[in-house]
Amino acid sequence: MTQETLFLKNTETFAESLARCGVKYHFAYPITPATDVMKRMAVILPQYGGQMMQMESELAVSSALAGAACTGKLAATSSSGPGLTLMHEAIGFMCAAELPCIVFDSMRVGPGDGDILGAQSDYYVVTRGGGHGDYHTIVLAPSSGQEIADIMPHGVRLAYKYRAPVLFVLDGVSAQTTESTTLPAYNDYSAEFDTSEWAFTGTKDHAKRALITGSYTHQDGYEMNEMLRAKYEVIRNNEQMWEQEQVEDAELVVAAFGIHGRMCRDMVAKMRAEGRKVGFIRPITLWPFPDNAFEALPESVKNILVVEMNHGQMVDDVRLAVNGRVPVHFMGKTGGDQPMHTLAEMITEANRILGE
Amino acid sequence: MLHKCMFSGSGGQGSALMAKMVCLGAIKEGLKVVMTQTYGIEQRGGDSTAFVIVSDEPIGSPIVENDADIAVALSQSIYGNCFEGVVPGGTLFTNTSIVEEPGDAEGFEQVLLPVSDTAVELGTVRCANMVMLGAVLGKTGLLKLETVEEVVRESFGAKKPKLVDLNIEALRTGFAAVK
Repeated sequence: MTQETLFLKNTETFAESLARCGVKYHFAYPITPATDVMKRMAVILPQYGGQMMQMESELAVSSALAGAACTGKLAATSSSGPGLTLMHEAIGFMCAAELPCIVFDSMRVGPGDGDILGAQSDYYVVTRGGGHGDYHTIVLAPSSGQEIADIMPHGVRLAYKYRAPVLFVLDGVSAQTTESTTLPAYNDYSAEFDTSEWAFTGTKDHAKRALITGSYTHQDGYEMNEMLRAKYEVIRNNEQMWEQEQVEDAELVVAAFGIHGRMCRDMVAKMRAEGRKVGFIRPITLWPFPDNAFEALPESVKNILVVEMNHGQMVDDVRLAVNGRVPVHFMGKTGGDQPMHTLAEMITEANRILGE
Repeated sequence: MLHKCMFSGSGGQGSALMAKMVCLGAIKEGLKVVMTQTYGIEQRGGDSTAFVIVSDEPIGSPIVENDADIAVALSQSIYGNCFEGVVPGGTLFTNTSIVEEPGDAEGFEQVLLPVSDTAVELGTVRCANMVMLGAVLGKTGLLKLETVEEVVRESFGAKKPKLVDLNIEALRTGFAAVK
């Protein structure tokens, strides 16, 4: 496939980007608002020599991801909050066993089955590991179709480089948005990585028996956890990603990811045109959280406003990052007919804070 | 260049198809485009609105928040939303075949066209959306007429070739009506 600009739903862009980056196996179970990913994969993967398989449940999906990863192949899945919850047993196993995969979470209103409308309710669950134990998954939060396409090679590399699940999260509104996106030409990024040290490749070419496990006893468990701790430290130090604009002389910095992050660009442009000193920080990695962006804030910043489609989740990480140096305000909501704040509401709240 | 559009009608009238034609045409002209739709349980006869933003620069917020400079109302039940959704200086395109008592536009322009009747004269009421799209192109210069005609040929050409001529005639009729 060559580079081309298409008009796609962002869920479809996610599928196209996976396939064009060399992901050949997709396991999934249908759920709104993520089903378009598996539908698109079913159509396009055979063109790349791959296949989409609909499994009987989310637990089966995540176990299939782990099984594929044991052979050194990168597989992906797509789901939404209620489905992701069911996958955490195998995702935790993959973190312990150091297996790569890519998971897409099109976030919707929770808790429980909740509502099919978009939300950012899964911030806690994706950035805190999700299951039991001391682990994290790398979490990427693109805010447009173009960013999904642009960041996918990096996502594949992260999964192999750290041998770990990589989660992509989009609020359901962004996931269902349809837009023009320039897709890259096909390139198998997984071919950059040598998996022969650890992957199961059958019985013939193995000098010794490979063991992939998530079970440890006593000293082994301690060493495994220390190894994970060291790995996560490397990731924290090297893999923070964010976008920022007009922060240098800002009095108020707005922090948001996903669709609200994207809206910040318009918000700052409008408010700057009125002489308001506003900037924004849009985290692209939710874990590792871009602490560096907030630690480097200039003295001019007197307030931070965090906007989310939930009741306040990322705001906790912003508060940890600024550690009391700057007051942090929050606005957010979830559920209802309009599960998000409008640009006008964001500007009104920002002006209120600036006027305090 | 930045246009915010809302295409509204009853489910089945083709407001979403109008939006899609604009999006595909915009890509042909090298523009950026984003479309969001009212999100819920869809059914024939229910209100349907597709929002489109067209720009020559990367698009920030994809949401049209009562600030459309181009609004289309194909049906009565959605007319009020469209009337409220037009930004000062914008243009509201109203299907007077169905909207019986259009409001008095203040601060924006209203183009009144009986596009359902025009469509019936052309052969079928189902091409009312394309008559209206032609009018939008003629009045606002959003995209070139030829670009959208090309999209129609590509979209209908393979599976429904007999619909190509009808839809292009509908586009041209709407285009001419406002020129």
